Amino acid sequence: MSSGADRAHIYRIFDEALDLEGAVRAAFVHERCGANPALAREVMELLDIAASELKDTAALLPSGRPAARDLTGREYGQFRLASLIGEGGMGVVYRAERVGGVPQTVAIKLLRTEITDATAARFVREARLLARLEHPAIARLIDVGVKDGEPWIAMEFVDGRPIDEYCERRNLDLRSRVKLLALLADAAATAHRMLVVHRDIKPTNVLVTDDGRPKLIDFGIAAALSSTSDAREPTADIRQLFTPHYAAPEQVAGEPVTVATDVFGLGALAYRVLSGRAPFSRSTSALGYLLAVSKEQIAPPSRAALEAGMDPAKARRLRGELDAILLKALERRPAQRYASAQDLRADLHRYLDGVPVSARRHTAAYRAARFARRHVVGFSVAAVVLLAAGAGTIMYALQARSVAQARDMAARRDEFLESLLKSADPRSGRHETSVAQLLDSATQELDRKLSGEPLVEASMLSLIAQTNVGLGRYQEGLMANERELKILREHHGSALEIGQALSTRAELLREEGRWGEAEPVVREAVSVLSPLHAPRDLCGALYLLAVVLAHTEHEKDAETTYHAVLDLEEHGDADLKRQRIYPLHGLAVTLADLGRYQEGAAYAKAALGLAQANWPADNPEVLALETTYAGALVNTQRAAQAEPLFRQVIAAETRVLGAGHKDTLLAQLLLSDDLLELNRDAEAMTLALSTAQQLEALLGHDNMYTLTAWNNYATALCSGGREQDGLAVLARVLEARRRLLAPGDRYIHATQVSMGVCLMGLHRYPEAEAVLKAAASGLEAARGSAYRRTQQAYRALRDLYTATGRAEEAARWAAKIGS
Amino acid sequence: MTDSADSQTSIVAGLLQRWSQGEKEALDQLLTHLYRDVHAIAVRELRNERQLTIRPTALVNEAYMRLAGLTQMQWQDRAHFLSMAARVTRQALVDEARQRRASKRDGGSPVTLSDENLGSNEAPYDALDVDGLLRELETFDKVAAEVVSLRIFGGLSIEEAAEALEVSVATVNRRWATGKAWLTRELTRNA
Repeated sequence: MSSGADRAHIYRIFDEALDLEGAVRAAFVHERCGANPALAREVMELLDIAASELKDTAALLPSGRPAARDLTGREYGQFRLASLIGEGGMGVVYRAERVGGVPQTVAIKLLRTEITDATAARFVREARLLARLEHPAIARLIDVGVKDGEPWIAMEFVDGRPIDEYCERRNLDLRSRVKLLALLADAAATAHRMLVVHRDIKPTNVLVTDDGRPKLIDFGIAAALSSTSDAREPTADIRQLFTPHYAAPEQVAGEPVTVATDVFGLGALAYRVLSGRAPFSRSTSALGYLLAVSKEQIAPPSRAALEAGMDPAKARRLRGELDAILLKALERRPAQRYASAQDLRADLHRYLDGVPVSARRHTAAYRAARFARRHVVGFSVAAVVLLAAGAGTIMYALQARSVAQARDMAARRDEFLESLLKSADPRSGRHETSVAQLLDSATQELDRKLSGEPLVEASMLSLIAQTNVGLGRYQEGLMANERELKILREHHGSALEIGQALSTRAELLREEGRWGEAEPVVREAVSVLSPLHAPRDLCGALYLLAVVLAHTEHEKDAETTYHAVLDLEEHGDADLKRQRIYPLHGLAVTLADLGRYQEGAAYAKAALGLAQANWPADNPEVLALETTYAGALVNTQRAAQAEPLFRQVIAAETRVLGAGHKDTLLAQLLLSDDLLELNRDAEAMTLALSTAQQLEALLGHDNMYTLTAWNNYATALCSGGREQDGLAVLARVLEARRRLLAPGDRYIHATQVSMGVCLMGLHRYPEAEAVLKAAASGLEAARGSAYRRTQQAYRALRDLYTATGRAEEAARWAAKIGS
Repeated sequence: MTDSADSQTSIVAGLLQRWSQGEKEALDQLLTHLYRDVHAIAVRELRNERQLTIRPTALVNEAYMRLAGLTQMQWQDRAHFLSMAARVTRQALVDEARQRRASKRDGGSPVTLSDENLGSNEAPYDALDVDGLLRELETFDKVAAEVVSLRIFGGLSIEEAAEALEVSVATVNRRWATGKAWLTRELTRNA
């Protein structure tokens, strides 16, 4: 190791040599280092490092992160990662292909943030609302999820390059560039009408395809993500959520984000695309940018273009209109920018059409009026996805009215939504607002703002109730729904609106587990909707009625109702025809409950066939239907056929939903039952035990599935010769079921059957006989003699009497056993 | 938490205001706040097992994001403030590294730095090593040492560093090239 003095010496030689090149440099180093080859080597090494580093000094931006692991081949939802295509502030992006089903290429973004279980569900719900956002210049959101605590997003794959690069490579003329920008402003305006704010508009988020179509990617993602961040540390992740050079002043200052933030983003994007430079491009750090954006004047783009080396004649074409438009979009205060992306778009079009633009007309009057101008505080809609469902649902609800009336009401609703965005309490603007919060303030504002227009208020309440259903906020949904119904009844709302509100109410009650209350409500919905020509709404209400009936043990009525739904849907359009999957599945389950296994199996098969034709193989609903179908095979003595199907479902569910997911565990539970049927006790025992333990951890020890799993485990213990252990488990299950269920419930008797079989194994015949006879008569009364558990009781009794030499009685029970 | 974060914010905003009006003592208090903030963030980041290294620039950015009210400021000497921020950050990280080394907390893991301004190899560096080397560099190229420190601890651009040090952009570029090459060489000497 060289001494301190040597090190300083080496540094000086290196410093001097750096200014020299080629042979001169080599000669210089040789001369200065004399006969010391170690010294020369040190200097040359420094020179090499400097040479390799110098090249990239221009690209030094403080946004780099450690290189990501290669995740190619991993699966997210229905997709498998194929190759890494990019890396950005929020995360890495892979190109991915659908596994099985219809081939599809998507872009999957893995967001570099951790998310807790509690916020994961909210993230997924809020992000899914974004899937409704449709515009030719917005990349569609396809799916979202959370894997290993990290959120991911599947988006339409756009094969293009960033807009700045695209324009430069093609050497695109000014008009074409402005046209691209106008289209993007239109896309943002559409999203804003659905109250989705992008808030990270920048060149890398705008890809242009080879045929010249621009697409905004990542719309609303930053918002959905931030809605999950810990409220106690509102700024913890802020550095990941905006990009210096394109972030608006209010963003870097941690102030409320509004649609005006996107106007700034569009302005900054236009600035880059038209002048060749980003606004404030001198700052390379977020910190420097923060200071610049809050203090410095933005140079007019025409001047920036000159500084960036653009041909003066070309740069001059930016002067006037385009300078004015861009500077207005880039105003430091949100209230001084264009009021909306729509207004910016309009001005870009005026420029293209050669009409005077509003940005210039305003400037003179503007200064005088400056102090008089109302200070508009932006509502903190950072997380806002509010009611993307909005427009469609309302227009549909209004179809019963005249077109003019409907248009008027829709316009009033839009005004209200807009006023919410603009005029909310400034104190609420401190932090990000979630959709839930926005819904709540919308609910509060309604009274004041729309009190003179009850039907508009009702339509707004309907929107709020439905969005709450989507967010799993049933209590809030019920409250909004109650107000809606009251208004509709007092102010003569249309029958369709009342019917829909009642359906929503029943749905909410069902989700709350208030089955008894749901029934009369859904019956009223059906009777209101029946005379109208509204097949979709009627089918929805009827289906809900059938579900409620089936759950409340009115299987016969449920069967009739499911058939009514099927009949209606059979005669509907393609979309309605597809809905048959649900009543078919309902029939499969209900008929199995009634012991009509063959019929049930046929419906299960039909539902599955329909689902497979319409959805990809790994869709969770398809998997649930496969489980039902495999269960039907067990019920119809085709246990051997069922096994591979169960195993396939379990593998798929483990992959798609995770090993500990409820659906996966339920499929395992049914497989353990199947293995018992196949007399593979050892395997059944292992599987039932692990399933029981996991279900207990997931759903609690009194849950009906947990108890069934323990029952299966006990049965396997008994068959495997461990009757004492089995009996102990069964006693616990029986105790729980007696405590939880009504006397005479089939599940109590099913446990008795298991106990009887176990007691027989211990040769405790009198006890076995008593419990089996009780079970047989109870099951017969509750479910009829064809029911699988009833049949099991019959078989056990036949075996019992055969074993004890009472041939006559054995024959009597044998006669009851079906083929 | 939110309330205290808010009041913290308004204290800082007030200090900024006073400083910009020429009150010199306000700057000391401001930097004390900044130091505490940067230090707290560094400690938090280091507790996070998934985060093995610290990027000083990201850290400063985060500390600044907390200083809402910045936008209302008239900046008398922006570069001056930026260079203060870099110094404070360096101090906070070195202090934390020293404490950790002394108490062997968390198995004695060093505070390591990873910064794109130090090159793209992404190898993490010990904060104390970086600090020690910069002190050495100071003895034979003071300007280079300052440029490197501003760049890697404060995230300053070449232009911003030029403003802060009151030298030309060309000088900063040149000092940055030598200083960075030397630091990189020393840090990777035994790697």
